[in-house]
Amino acid sequence: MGYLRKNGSKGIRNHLLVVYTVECASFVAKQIQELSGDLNIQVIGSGGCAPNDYITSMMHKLCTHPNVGGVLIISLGCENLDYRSLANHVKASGRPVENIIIQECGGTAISIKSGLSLLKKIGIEMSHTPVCEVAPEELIIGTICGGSDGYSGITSNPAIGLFFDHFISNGGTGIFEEGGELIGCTRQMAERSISEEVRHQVEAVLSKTVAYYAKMGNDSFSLGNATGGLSTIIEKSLGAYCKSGQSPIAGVIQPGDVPQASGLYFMDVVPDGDVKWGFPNVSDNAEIIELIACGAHIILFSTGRGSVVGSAISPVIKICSNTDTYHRLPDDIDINAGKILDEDSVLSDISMEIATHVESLVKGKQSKSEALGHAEFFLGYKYFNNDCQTK
Amino acid sequence: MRKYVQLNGDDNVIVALLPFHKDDVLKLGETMITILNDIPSGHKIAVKDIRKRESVIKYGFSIGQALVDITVGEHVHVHNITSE
Repeated sequence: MGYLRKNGSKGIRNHLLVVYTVECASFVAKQIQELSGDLNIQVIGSGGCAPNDYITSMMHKLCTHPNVGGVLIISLGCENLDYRSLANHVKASGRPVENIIIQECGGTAISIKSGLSLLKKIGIEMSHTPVCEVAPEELIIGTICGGSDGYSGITSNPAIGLFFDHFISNGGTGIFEEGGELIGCTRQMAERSISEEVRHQVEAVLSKTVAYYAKMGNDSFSLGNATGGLSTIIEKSLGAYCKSGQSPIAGVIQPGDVPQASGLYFMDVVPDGDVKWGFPNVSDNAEIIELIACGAHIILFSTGRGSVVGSAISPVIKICSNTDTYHRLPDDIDINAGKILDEDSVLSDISMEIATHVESLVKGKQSKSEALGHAEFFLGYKYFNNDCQTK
Repeated sequence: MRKYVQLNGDDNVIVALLPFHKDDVLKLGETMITILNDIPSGHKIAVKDIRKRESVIKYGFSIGQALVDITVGEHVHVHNITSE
């Protein structure tokens, strides 16, 4: 069952977000969520107070994501993030929204109390959200890998790639990302680009990425990679790249750009300009939230060593590369692609299993991380020129 | 447990999923391949002769060039291939 939004987009969840607009307001936001005792209510927010266009744009996109039904904004009052324009943006999208300004409201206790009563008000409005069917091809699905091992590039990543091939050829929209893990794949990606324009964008993003990581002094090929059997940076990158499957690359997007047509998109997460705000991918959840800001309804997370995370807003399906890790983290991993190594499963079996999980999530079944209550959120500072958007 | 995986039909290497030892014999389709070195799990084994400067193909893509002639059954790694 899906949720129909005023702009015609469809969500597979109807989350109520409690959003803090500076770290100073986060305690109140978290208390409101905790005291509500409702796992459908999730906390997101931006900790920093320095003005930043990327954060503003990300907050606007996330608060009006198709999986979000209503928003309670908790502000301190003097922060740089423009909470009034955020509230107006949410309101204009047809969602119920309320804003508590702690300095005006009278402090912690009264803000929490009024927050709890506003949650009820928003919840009642959200219960009137029209429901609808969501076909698989109406979904946007993002993919990332984290805690990879020597088997990731053999089992879980190519299985995701095969799922993407079927999903995208049936009209779905897929997003893969992180140029830093694709160094050396420029030619392969350029050849798959749907047009000359996209080809130039892919080449520009990957050369920017190489320069950025060189300045950060981060060589992504480690001794551990060689010990595990990887011989070249290209070989390592291909192991991550194969998550994207074989579909043509329809466009290059940046965090917050929602693809306007179906197909496979490459998300550029590396900031433009000087190295200013640190590493482009500080944590798996930072990348996950960027995919979600691009409209992703579901995240396919490939892991080898094991990860337990989920995410606020959109469910995460964790696909593990090997059976040992699967057995060590049975409550956290959704799919064991390690069956390819030690049983008679082949890639297409795992890809079908992913499709089945996606369908059941759309019908309202929870992923393992959702069932455990995971709703991680991470948002850091970045800068983008915005010259590469698909709009 | 599978002993190896070939990721693409065009590949001239396979990936060992178990440790192989010198003189082990593995069956690839109808072909028998004699292993020439001790090869750790996760590492690559040549399944075609690869001449010096020819591409090493994995996932159907070049992952680098041979630094020397590489023979079927040989360990393929940082000692005999390099990035483009």
